[in-house]
Parts: sequence; C-alpha cells; structure tokens
Amino acid sequence: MMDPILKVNDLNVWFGSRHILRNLSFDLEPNQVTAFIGPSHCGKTTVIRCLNRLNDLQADYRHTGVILFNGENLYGRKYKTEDVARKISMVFEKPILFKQTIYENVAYSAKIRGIKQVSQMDNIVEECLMKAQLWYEVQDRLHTDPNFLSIGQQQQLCIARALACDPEILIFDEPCAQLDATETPKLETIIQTLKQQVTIIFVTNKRRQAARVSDVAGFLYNGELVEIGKTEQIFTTPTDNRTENYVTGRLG
Amino acid sequence: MDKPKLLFNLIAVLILIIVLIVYLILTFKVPTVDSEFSFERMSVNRTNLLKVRLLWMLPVLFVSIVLSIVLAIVIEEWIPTTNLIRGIILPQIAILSGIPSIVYGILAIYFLVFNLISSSYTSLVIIVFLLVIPITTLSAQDAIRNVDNSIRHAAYAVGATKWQVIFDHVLPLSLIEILGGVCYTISRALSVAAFCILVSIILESPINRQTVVYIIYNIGIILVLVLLFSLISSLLKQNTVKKM
Repeated sequence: MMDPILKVNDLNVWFGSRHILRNLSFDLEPNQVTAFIGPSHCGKTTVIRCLNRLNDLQADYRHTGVILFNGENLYGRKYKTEDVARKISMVFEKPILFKQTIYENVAYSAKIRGIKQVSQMDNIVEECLMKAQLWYEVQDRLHTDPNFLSIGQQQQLCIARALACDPEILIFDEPCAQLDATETPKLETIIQTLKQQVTIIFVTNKRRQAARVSDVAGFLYNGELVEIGKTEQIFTTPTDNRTENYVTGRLG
Repeated sequence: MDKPKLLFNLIAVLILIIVLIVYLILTFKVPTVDSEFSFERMSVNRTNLLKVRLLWMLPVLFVSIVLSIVLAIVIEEWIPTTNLIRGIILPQIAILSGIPSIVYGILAIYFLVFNLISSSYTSLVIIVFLLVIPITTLSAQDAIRNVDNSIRHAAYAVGATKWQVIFDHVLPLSLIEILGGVCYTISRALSVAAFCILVSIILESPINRQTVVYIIYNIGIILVLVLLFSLISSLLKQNTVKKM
C-alpha cells in the first residue's frame, strides 16, 4: 500500500451557523480516481472546495480538523492559498473560460506558475491540450475565441487549463452535468487516461458514472461520509444500509 | 438593510450636516446690508475664481477618479458583504452620489467667493472629490460586481493570487463599464465648472455685448464637452452585456 497523498482527519465545516460537514475522515492514495457520490445538497462540493481551499473565499466559512497533503498541513504555514490551488487544481461543473483565446486560456495557468519562455509555453500548451485530447481539433485555431467550441470541448479546454498548472491532484466537480450522451464517454476516457499522471477526485450524482469511472467511491449523505471503499465493494456489497439504498436507487 | 443600521446611518449623516452648518455659521462673515453694498466690502477674492480653470481641475480629477476606482475595488474584493464597515460606508456613498451637481456648484461659489477656505486650490480639491468620488465609486462597484463570480473562482482554481485575479480578469472585464461611469462624472464635473466660470465672468466684468459673447463662447465649448462625455458614457454603459 502506498503512502496516502491526502489525509483528511475529523473534518467539520460550518458556513455561519450551518453545520455542513460532520466528522469526515478518509485517505486518498495517489494515481487513483476517487468518486464522491450522494444526493444533491449533501456536501459533495463543500468537501472538494475544502481540499483546494476555495472555501476560504466565503466570509463565514470555518472548519475544524486536519487535512494533510503530502504529510503537510494544507491549512498550515507551509502552503499559501494559491499554492494549494495550483497543486490541487479543479474543473468546474460549467466550463468557465476566460475571455481570451484558446492558447491564452491554457497558457494563463502556466504563466501564473512563473513560465515566461515562449517556446516552453508552446510546449506546455500543446502537451496539455494533447492530454485533454483536444489538440487535433483546435491546433489550427489556437488563437481564436473558445466560445465557438462545443460545451464538451470547452470542458476539455478547462481540463487542459487545469493540467497546465502542473497539479498533483485534479478535482472534477460534476464535469458531465452539462454534457450530452456522446460527450460524456469521451470525458470519462480522458479521466481514465489522466489517472496515470495525477490523482483524481471526482464528484457526481450519477451512480452509474461513478461505478464506471472510479477506483474508490465514497458515499456522502447529509454531510456525513457514510462509507468509503473500493468501488466494486461499495456498489455490490455495501456495509451501510443507506449506501445500499442509494446504490440500488431506493434513496435519492 | 436592517433598521438599526439605517438609523445609525441617518444619525451619521445628520451629524455631518450639523457639523458643516456650524462650521459655515462660525466662519461666515455676514455682510452689513446698506446702501453702499458692494462686493469690495464683502472682501470678495475675485482672482480666486478666475484661477479655477479647467486645466487646474485635470490633475485633481485624475487623482479622484483613480482613488474612487481603488476604493470600489477595495470595497468589492476585500470587504465581505456581512461586514459592518461596508454597511456604514456604502449608504454614505449612495447619499452623496444622489446630490445634484448644481449643489456642488453653489458650494464651490460659497467656498471661493467668501473665502471659507483660505486657498482656492484646497476648495477645488474638496469640491471635485465630493463631486467625483461617490458617483465613480458607485458605478465602478456596479461594474466590478457584474463580473461573474465563477470567473474569479476559475482563476483562483488555477492558482492566481488576489492581485492577479483583479488585474488579469476582473478589471479587464469591467473596464468598459467603469469608463462609462468615469465619463459620466467628467461630464458632471465639467457642468459644475461651467457654472463656476459663468459666475466668475459675471463678477469680474460688466455685462455688455462683448461679455455675453465671451460667456456664450466659453460656456458653449464646455457644454459641448459635457454632451460629448455623457453621450460616450451612455454608449459605453449600453454596450456592456452580462460578463461571463
């Protein structure tokens, strides 16, 4: 068994007086796809936004518990907020693109981590678009507006942008929520190929998708992590009653 | 806004107004009205008014516009919505921006003619600040708030610092709308200046055909500028769509 890349211990999260997450503890191993499943408003997005510290933007956010990333406290003195966001990058539900060209969108995250040479930048952009399986579709129009791409391609561009900041963990927050049936499998194959290089956390409320894509699955219900384990185990022989109800479709 | 905050703000504004009135009463030299009433006896400083030229206004205008954009950024990006300071500052800005510009013009005349403040430049600075900062801040704030939050989150998610988010994404996206607000305030400031210049010419020289032509010429140029700026501002504001 490998050392866990991320250790979460007894995480509690409040927004104002609302207690969103209760006593979460789990470990993530590197180069695996971890899926968090659960009905909506169960705290899936809050969990992942704790991991890349996007929750810090909320004024009334507070948490207890420890998150260790490579053995260091994620909220400690060693990591700045922007370093955390760079190491643990994120793809959102909607494809959010900057008002720039395709090239600049990808190059922006490389620029932020301090890459200035044009040739190096070109290489990074090509490599990242290649990894996101978008290079052959856009290589002749790199300097055009990305809004003309389809939603699926825009989401791929977002993946390329997230990869360009050289992350160790890549978070997907319901990436297929706006995609249609033909684009979803493509994204799933991208996720499958990406897991050789990065650790992937995947949030979805589609049970079957989680079963297809993930190695490890965690079931969240009302802010509690009911169960986490190998995907086959969660989907075939869950130990908790609620997990079984959810997986079989009787709940949520 | 909840009631205690509203009450607090009203009291703050009232105190401000009272302080201003007391100051004016204390410093105001009441001219004795008699048959020989003249501006000479009121110790009018005529040259003060004429010193106030449009060129003098430009650096002050520039500084106040930059100041108000900075203020808007600070308010929108650093002060959270639940903060008490925000609840105190914002209504004051809104109240100040609601005052018609002619009031500031009259205030300018008071300041300059009656020498309430010793230096004409200081009074100019005060008036331009009062005139420009509230409105520019308010419109810049609107522009910054119109930038979709998801853009900020996306930029944070690739590791941008707060400054990078502001300068690379928020400001470029809101720039046109901010400029619209700036043009609007410039047109307001110019119209106040036109009023002041009109008064200064009337005070300075006898009214005859030549003076009237001079007035029409000077004020006309300024009015054309005012119209131009307000036109540009409305065009800029109309062209801003929801930024995403």
